[in-house]
Amino acid sequence: MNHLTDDEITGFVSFDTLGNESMELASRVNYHILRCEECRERVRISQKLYDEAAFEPAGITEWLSSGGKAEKMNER
Amino acid sequence: MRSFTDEEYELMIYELTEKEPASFDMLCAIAYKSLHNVVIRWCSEDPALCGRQLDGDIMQEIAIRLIKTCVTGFLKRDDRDGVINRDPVQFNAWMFKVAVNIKRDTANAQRAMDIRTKQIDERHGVVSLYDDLDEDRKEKISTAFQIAAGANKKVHILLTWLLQSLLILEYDLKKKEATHFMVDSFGDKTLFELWKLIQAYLSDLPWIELSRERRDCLIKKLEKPQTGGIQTGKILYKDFFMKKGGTAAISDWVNRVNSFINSRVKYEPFN
Repeated sequence: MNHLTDDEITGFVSFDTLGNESMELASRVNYHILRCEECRERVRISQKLYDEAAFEPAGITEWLSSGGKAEKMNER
Repeated sequence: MRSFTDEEYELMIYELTEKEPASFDMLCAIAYKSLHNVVIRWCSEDPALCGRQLDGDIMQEIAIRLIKTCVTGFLKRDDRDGVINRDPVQFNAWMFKVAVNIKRDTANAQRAMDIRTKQIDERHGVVSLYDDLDEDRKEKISTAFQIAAGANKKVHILLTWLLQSLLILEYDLKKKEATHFMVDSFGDKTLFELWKLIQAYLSDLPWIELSRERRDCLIKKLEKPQTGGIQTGKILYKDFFMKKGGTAAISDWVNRVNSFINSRVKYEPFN
């Protein structure tokens, strides 16, 4: 069985609109985690972490807290 | 007391557990049948929610939360292999618990935003709360602004990200507070007015370097005429919300620009 990727889990726990793309992802993820205990646990933990961070400032601080250092892109 | 029939419930269970891929049509239908009138009553009784037409937003958030947690929160709540929870009484209780939590969080966010709005109104001039950021963080934030402003996206999306980020920086708002604040305060403003506000905030944060080229590009997008000849910048902000509504639209736009920034920035792991 192919497990869910990190991107799929991140996309699933963070979607906040009922668009076609998010529903398609939710359908796939839910079908899988109903059958895969490992991925179900990953989703459960990720959702909890996301919910705790949901009231944090968006965008900039999420990016800053990612644990990396940014390289400036060359201006064209 | 349940608002759904046994047949509706069985169809929902089938859609969630056997259909490939899973489907949420009956889950959403049952949620709407069971909760819509309750949500409308909450919105009329809770002072934090009253008069803001939030019932649609709250119902959407409930539906999203039910979809996200139907497996981990109900069907496989006990997490025993091979055992799926099909108890309609437990389902009803779980569904209402989700709704109550969403209602509570929404009301709390509204109350916090009301307090923040009052604080902003009482403020004399704009004072940044982030003057104590170190130089490294300031440079990263400045880079994010430069990248965002140059994103190949429609101007209302770019202005949304810029304005929300500035509100967060200036007033220490949380994401949901900033979103609701923008819907309430700027819906009736034109995009030109939003751009003017962004420039005012930027003038108080001189360490955010938005190049002349980026600014000119945004102005060019604002001056571009839409169908009918009206300049894009003269269109009201709320006219871009469409059927989604303000909070969902702003959330979607901010996420799109964040994804763009993330894809443009290279990361080096710390040593």
